[in-house]
Amino acid sequence: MKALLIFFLFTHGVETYVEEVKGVSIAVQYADGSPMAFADVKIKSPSGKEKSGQTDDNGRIVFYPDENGKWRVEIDDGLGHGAVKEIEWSGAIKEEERGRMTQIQKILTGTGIILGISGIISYILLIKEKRKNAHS
Amino acid sequence: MKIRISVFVLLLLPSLSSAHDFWIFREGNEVKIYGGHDFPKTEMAPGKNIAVHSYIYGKGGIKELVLERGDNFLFSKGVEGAGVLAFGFERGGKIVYCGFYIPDEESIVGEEMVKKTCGDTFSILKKIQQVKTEKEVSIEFSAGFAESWTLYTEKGDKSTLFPDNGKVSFKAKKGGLFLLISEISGRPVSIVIEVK
Repeated sequence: MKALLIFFLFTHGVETYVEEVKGVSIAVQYADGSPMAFADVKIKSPSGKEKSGQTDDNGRIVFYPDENGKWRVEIDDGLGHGAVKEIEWSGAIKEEERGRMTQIQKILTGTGIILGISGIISYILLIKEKRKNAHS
Repeated sequence: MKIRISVFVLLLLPSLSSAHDFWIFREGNEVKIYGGHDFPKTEMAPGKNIAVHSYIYGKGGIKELVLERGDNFLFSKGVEGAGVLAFGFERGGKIVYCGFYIPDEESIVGEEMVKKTCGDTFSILKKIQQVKTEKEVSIEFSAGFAESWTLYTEKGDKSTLFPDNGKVSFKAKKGGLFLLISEISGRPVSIVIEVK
């Protein structure tokens, strides 16, 4: 009887097929290189549809975009760490959005931004000082 | 020049901000778990994907507390009697943070309590000694695991303590809550110590 039931369960209107599809895989890591496992993930499509899920134990999330445009992925580990990634999808990911930044690249980028902003501020202050000196 | 340096430092600081810490303590009959960057400032409670287990250790043994969610903290009301408090955060079956509160009248966090909340086996011993007008607080661990501890006072002062033979100590000029932060096997741990 059991065998008959299992036979009906496995034959009743279910089909499986294997296909190759293009998708997006994002890996999230902490600064020390350990994966952000089982973190909350929110995926927003270009038209505003939202889906949620979790990263796997390797800190990875995979999804298959069904619309072209900008996809937004928000990752939150529930302890105050998080990341936001925007991906431009047009059937594939743009070359410049692939790969990842190394820690050194991140530090260099951050330092570059800080130096740039402080440079602009210093320049404004210098001009102000020069104008002040010219008036007096 | 001074202005330029301070602008640079101000811009640099946010980029170096560290992860949040969490701590547990008791206010009257209420137990609270807070989270933030700078003790005692509070910013957030853990996210909903974190399973929170909180325990009180008293005369009746270890009892699990049921916590509710506040705006930026977790709490449990109507907690009677003194005792050590502990919490553990679990995500994906792994403990990702654990912490303790040792009130003034308590001196030990036993192995059983540590094992339940942190998944590790060690115990914590607290001693308070009067040194002239100050109080010297020393925390001893049955296992020497942490390279350094960060100590926060309620005033917002921050200092680094280095263990000596598995023991860290500091002087408390005034009573209050003191927070110690470190890591056990790469996992953050917090200890709130009450000094009266």
